[in-house]
Amino acid sequence: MPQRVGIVAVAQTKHEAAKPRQHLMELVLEVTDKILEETGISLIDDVDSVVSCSQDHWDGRTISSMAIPDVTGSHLKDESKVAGDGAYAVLYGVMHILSGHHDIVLVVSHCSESQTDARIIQNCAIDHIYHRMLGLDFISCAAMQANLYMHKYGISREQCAKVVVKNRGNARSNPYAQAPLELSVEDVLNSKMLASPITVLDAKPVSDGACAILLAKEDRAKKLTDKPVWIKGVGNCYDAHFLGDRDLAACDSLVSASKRAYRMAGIASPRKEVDLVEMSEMFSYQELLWMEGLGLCGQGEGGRLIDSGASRMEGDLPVNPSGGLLSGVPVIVAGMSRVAEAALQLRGECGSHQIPGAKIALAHGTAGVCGQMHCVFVLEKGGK
Amino acid sequence: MAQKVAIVGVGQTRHTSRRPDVNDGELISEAVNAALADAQLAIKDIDTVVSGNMDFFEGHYLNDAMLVDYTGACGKAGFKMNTGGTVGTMTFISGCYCVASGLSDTCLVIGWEKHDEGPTTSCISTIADPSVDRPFTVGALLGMALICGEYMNRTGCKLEHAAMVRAQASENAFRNPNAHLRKRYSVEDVLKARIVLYPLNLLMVCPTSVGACAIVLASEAKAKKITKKPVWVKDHITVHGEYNGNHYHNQFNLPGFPRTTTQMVAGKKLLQRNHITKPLKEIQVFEMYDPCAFVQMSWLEDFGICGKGEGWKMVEKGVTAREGAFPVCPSGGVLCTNSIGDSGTVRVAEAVLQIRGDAGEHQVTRDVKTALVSGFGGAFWTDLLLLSRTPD
Amino acid sequence: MEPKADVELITQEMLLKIPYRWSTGEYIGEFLQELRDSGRIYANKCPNCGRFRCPPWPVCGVCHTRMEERGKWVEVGPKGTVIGFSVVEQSFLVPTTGDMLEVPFSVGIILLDGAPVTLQHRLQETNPDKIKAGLRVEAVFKPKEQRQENIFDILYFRTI
Repeated sequence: MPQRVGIVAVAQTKHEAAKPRQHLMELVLEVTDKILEETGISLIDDVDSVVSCSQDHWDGRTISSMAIPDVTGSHLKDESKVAGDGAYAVLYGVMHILSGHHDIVLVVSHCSESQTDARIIQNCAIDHIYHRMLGLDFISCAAMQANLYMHKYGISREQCAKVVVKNRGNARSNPYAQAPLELSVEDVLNSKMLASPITVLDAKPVSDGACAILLAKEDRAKKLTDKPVWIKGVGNCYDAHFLGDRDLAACDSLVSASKRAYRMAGIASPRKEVDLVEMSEMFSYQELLWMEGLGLCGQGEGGRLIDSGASRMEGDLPVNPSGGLLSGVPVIVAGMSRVAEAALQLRGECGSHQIPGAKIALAHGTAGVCGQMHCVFVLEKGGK
Repeated sequence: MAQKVAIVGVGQTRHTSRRPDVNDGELISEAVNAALADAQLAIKDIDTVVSGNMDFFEGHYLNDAMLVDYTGACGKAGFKMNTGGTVGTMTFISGCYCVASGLSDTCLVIGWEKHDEGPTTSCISTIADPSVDRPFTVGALLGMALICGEYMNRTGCKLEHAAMVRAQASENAFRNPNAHLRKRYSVEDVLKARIVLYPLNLLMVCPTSVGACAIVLASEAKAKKITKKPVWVKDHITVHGEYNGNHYHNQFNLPGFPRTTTQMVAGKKLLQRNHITKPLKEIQVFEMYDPCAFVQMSWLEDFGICGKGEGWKMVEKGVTAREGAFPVCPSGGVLCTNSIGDSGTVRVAEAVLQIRGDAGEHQVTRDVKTALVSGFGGAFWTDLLLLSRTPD
Repeated sequence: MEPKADVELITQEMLLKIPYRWSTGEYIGEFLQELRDSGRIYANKCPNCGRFRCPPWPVCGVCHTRMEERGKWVEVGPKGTVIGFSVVEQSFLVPTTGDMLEVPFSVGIILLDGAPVTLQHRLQETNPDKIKAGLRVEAVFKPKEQRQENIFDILYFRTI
């Protein structure tokens, strides 16, 4: 890459189960305000383009980005909306800069899941001709994937529960996390069953929130912050849609996406070179499966990885030190918030959930049923 | 742009009000296959697929993921854009970013909409804030009607001029096998049509059409291997605006706040930075996204193609006809064909055909080296693109 | 590819009903409260560029300055001047109610007295020959006991 793209500043709202006092634009205003406070830039004069991620069904509004042009300073400016997940908005923002077309890009995402019914909306993501009328949603599809994956590799419900215990526990140190909780494996196993084997605690809770990231090309980034986080590599990939068309006990598209990202970043041995991972795990088993897809352990080894303790904050490859999605992050914001959390780690700004000495981090976003599409970033600490 | 971006293949379906014979994916396949055939490539030669479409209209969430079998995106990089009427041009622009950034060498761009599957006007009405403006939002046309009245008041343009635009568009669409409304109308025919929203009658507004359009983009190095007739994307600009639910006031001159449209800002910036001082000479065709007859005239002024108050005069004098000195929408434009997800992409594809000399019966009589393309939608947003036969 | 004549083309139908609970937030929410409680229409101003918004808005879209808070809101209307209008003749399915729109339905952009600010709302007059830019109108509110804290607490604007 000729000039690198840097993350200059990040902002998140505290994610909450419901934010009934805030109009969606007020939610986004909170994060754009924080970016402005931190960097001192002018949204109007300094930002060249705005990329947002939000979704029509979730917001109850077609062209859902129409709720926020005022708060993002998009008047008479380049502004666009990417669908899917906030990680894709970051990807698109990176493209804006790598293309030479823009120098400074603001990316934002928002979703207030509490305003509507998640399962009706998720059902709309299922193919409409054959499967939608079965009433499938993300939970029931994930349950099928979990069963298949766990059966094939002998992964236990206890191992999945350990992910929940770890992540909800990590969240206690994260001021943005929605629902930190001190839990035991038994608590998770005994919680209410949603769709076997997924219990309430195995699933991401309903959440409202927003996130913003300011990206800049290298020379501008160095002027705007002394702690830029460089985007060393990125990769994204789609898998098949019909659940039977792919091996649900694997995640081929994540393997492809992460390989592309590693190649671009010059990472030959991710397990050794990556210091931490912030990933989008909507369900507990997904953390194990996505670790395999990211090439951080062998196929089918996710259970062994969690048992080893390596992915705990004190381990040698902490996963979701922020608490992850299981601690409460809205969809759509999810992938972008992973990039934000990873960036905060590399900036050394995570307080009591800081991973010491972090230099290379992975940030991951996903969209689609059972993780049909994935986007992976390799981030590198910049500055001194 | 860091890497030059070339268009190496285009394909579109015919457009019509209903396609009960295909589902969403099959519709997309027709366009994808046509574009790949035009580029003489196979799907394996594509590394990235970006699609654009409006979620509510067919009732789907994440339908780019749902339709990977048909878009060819399985195993490839890609994403979906979702910006309303501009989504067709915006998706094309996003493909340009994929290639220009160096992250893609051959990118397939797909715009599509199957309006026969959902209540379009109802869905568009959800564009407005639910607490304030939604009860007064009637699809996309109400805002159109308001600004048409404003143009007539401000410049002396008459209903007859809008009728001339539509009659001319029908002549063009008649010659375009992919257009939706291909019946020819005289000015008198147009004036007699039924009123939909004052002052617009049924023939002065765009239809809703079912269709898909696909375009293959390539980096400079790849393009030269793929085709002898690449068309180059010289520049593009996107200008959006503040939320305008109640505030069409940017479209009106208000005390202390002169009329400032996104078309004005986009046109000025794009023409200036490409050193175009005589657009009527230096650009040979304009595929404008024209959702209603009046705006074809008013936006010629706003884009800076002609002076204020001159737009309707250009139409009156026949300048914008296919054989005229500055043809506008030789394809028939959005006035004759509007499949929201692909309308913008079709404008690009049609401009490409004109530059290549491949537009058949609706080819303009001028030799086209440089074409202008616009997209429109959302809160009166604009995309504006400059395409050229040569890379520089 | 044309379908074969003897092939039956099947369509699947679905009625999508999605419940929403939209938060109106601080600014729009309080605007609607005032419609209900006091029968007054409020706007707020950008202290930097002087633009007004009705209903009041948190931030100016043009210069991104915080717009004035509740204590400084300006009452506007109830009279105003129509600057643009249209009369809808063709009905369609209203997405929020699921009912067909009763037509003719007349909508105006009204420049409200008291500040250079516009509000979009229904006009009582539905004959387009009787409406033009410059027409003076006045907001008619529902009786207080019928108001529901939504934009239709103003029933329509009548010609004066």
